[in-house]
Amino acid sequence: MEKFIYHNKGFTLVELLVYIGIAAISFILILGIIYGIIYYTSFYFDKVTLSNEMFKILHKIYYNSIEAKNIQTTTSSVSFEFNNSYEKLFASGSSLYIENASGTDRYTSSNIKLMDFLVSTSGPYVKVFINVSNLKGDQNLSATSVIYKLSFNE
Amino acid sequence: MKFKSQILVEVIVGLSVFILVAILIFALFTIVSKSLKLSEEALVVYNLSSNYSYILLGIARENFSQLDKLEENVSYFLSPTSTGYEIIEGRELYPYKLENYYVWFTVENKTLEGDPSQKLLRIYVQSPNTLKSSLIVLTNLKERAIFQDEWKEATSSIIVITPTTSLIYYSTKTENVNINGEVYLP
Repeated sequence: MEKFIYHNKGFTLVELLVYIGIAAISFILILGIIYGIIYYTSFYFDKVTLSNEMFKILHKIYYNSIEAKNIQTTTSSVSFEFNNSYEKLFASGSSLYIENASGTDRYTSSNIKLMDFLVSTSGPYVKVFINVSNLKGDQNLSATSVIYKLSFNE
Repeated sequence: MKFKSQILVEVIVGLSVFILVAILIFALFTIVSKSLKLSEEALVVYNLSSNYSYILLGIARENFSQLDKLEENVSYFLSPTSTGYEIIEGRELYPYKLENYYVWFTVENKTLEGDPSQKLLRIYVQSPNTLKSSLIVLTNLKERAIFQDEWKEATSSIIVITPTTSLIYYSTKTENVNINGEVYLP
């Protein structure tokens, strides 16, 4: 059996403090980056979701207004009448719903909240104010869609 | 001593790599936030540009002669009134989230293809980073329609040519639209 030999290769107090300091700084930086990644990932997806949902709502309104033969409104809904069908967009709770002959479905994602869906008319124009926010409520996006209300009674 | 020196070198190298990675991640976040900003801007530009398209479509249908009074290559914007919109010379300021957007339109050609009932307009939206524009042809289809059915169909037409910002693509009963670019049909 080999005899145990003690080698004096230990750290001095200063060296130990330096290494501990470096390790502590590294640890703090790692924690900071992990927090940053989590925070920005959440921030990024919330923003992207809001933009996508807003674009989806705006596009639906614009496109339907071209196709529709008539548009009916209330203060919280807008209804597009096509040749043989219809689509009604209306707000209920914190979501936007779409109603047609097949039934009613939620149009907006469950990852956002619809804060406002206000419909008003001005002459032949329909204005729809839309405000959406993320579930935490710290980000929001708003837009006003203006469409021309066709009338065929001329 | 050699053992301790090796550890020190390894720690310094490791820390350097780590700092480099941190800088790269920071740069990535910067790019991501910039892309988010541009995405939000694109949405506002799409919204403003589309609104102007539909309002101008309404004006063309309700009171086309109002467009005859406009000068070519002069900036105009649309101001809301109690019964619709009126055309005013200048540019509209649209503040959104502490940033200023400007939206306006110009008449590029009052008699498109020699036809005074066709007008070529360009809608501009100035965002904090870019200037986007899209062309729109407004036609006085009411005078052209012979039958009521044609009038009904014609009035639902809106054509945006070479859209740089928006996604309006619908056309019915429109003749001789051959401007440089594409006309998207449903």
